[in-house]
Amino acid sequence: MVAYLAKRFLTLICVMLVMTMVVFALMHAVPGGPFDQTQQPLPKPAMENIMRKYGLDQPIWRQYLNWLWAVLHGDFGTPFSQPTMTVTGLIAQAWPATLIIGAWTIGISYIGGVVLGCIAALKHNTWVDRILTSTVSTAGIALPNYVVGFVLITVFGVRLGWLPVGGWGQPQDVILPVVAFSLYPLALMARYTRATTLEVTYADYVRMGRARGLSERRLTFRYVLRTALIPLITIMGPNIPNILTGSIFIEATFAVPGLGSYFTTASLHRDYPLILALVLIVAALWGTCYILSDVAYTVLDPRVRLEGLSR
Amino acid sequence: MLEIDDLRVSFPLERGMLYAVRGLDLTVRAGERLGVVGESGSGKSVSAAAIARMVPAPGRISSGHIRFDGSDVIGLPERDLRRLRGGQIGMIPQSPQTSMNPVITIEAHFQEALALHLGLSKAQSSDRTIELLRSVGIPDPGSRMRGYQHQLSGGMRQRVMIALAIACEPRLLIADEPTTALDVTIQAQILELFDRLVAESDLASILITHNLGIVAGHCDRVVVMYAGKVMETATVAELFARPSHPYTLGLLRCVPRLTAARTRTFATIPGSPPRVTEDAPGCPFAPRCDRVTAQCRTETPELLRIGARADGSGFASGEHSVACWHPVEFGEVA
Repeated sequence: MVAYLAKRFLTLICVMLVMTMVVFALMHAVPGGPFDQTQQPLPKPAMENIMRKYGLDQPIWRQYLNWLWAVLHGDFGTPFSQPTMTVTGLIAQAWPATLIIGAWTIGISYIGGVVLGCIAALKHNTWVDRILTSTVSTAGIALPNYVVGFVLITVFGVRLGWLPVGGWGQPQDVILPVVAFSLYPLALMARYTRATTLEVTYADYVRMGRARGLSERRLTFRYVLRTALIPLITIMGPNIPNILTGSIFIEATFAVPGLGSYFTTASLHRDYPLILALVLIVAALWGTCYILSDVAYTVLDPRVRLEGLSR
Repeated sequence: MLEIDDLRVSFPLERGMLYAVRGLDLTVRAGERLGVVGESGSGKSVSAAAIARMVPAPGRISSGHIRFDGSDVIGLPERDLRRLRGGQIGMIPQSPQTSMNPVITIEAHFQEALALHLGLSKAQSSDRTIELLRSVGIPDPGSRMRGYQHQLSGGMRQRVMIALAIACEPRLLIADEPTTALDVTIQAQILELFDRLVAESDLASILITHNLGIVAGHCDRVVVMYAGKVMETATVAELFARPSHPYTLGLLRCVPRLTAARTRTFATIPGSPPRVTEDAPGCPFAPRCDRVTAQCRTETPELLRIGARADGSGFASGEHSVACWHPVEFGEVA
């Protein structure tokens, strides 16, 4: 297991290295630069000074190596758009808000979605199932989260005045963004859970278990859910990075000072060091979640084994 | 031991009803080996499921009586029903490939059943599992039982399913086409095993099949089903010697024989079994029968016992009943 994990993480590092090269090349291939000024151009010497200061006057391969060398020493550089900070400092400041919302969202949507999906499947074709499937989960998938966000703000923030309309700092600020952000993954989980559970409900081995006199309770938990929930790892794992890196819509709607907006603004500002740092975060999260998903499979499903590893 | 009386099972459809079993009468005596024969859709599997009240939803038993050892199965509360399933009635599945829980060990299957019906402890059930697996011919049962179903071949899985079916010492074993999903060479081994276990533990058994050849070698008595009804029932020897229903005769003609003259085609019964969506009077086999008359289409023939005939061509061995207005007379067909 240790050897397997070491191999997987080594591969992940290689992937990240290649990704930074591609992104580096792409960033510089796009027209425009971080200090282009259309309205009040700086004098040429001043411009050259800035370019020299940030090393932008050097050949691209050199810039890349410089960046890589610095990163390996823990220095991710200075964001061009906020020269008074470091990239590391900026992310450390913005990410916690996003992580708090993300963690709550994952908890609520994964647990809630699985529970609702199971209920819908076990009450298949009853009114409970119909309401859950046709109304809740369809709405959750179809409605964009900023629309849900505005509705929540109008109802709970403005009309009822129960919760703050936005902002960050008090504990209750978390509630509305989390609700708005959870709806889509919750609906997704509920749909998948219902589908996989229904499939297993009518499986031969459940029927044979019943023929041996097992109780419906035992059949539900040990025969149906135990096998039906395994494929959900495939949906759950890869959605984690999406949620943990935040949503620009949610953060803009609720005025949350999170990481989500930087994914857009960093590219717009050609903020090279910030873009690269964000790419590394996403790549590391994705890679780790996939590795963890694969490991979870081997733990939960005896039919799956790690490559080149015997039990 | 098992008595089924006028059993009816129906499935509601989008529009109307599907009548899967229409007035089934059937008895199995202790130690008897009954064969139930019929084409796909004749209601044989549904009837077998109904014995332990396992008709798949939305189907339901609409009327009739099922008595097992004198107790009424239809009225049995859930708790007692579960004691019956597995404890008194063992079932062997059609497709062993998909009949075991893929994520629990083989041993766990035995353990939960043995704890439930016989109250065995973990250690006791381990010993019993090894013994059971050995008796069905699983090599190295001690280590095999710690594995999972995907590590076994199809034939091995069916052996395990058989061991599981007899684990809690049931009195009746129901096998629903137990060899259909297996290779021909494995089929014979599985049937042999089935026979041996039934004989050793003096079990009653119901073997459901569409293959009359299997019935000939492995049953004492046969019930021929068609469109949810019993067409004919007799002892195996009797049925093969004097088939009385035109449908039975048709089925017998379909069995290929090595000794018969070489032909280019297999014998068949023209047409296919009906999907019964209205319980109309008349013989269900009438549309495919070559002896059909006007009476067959309007009046339902009852299952009647065939007695000795005036010309002396009596039926020596036990009971023989047929539901036909124009049964095939003895000696009529070579």
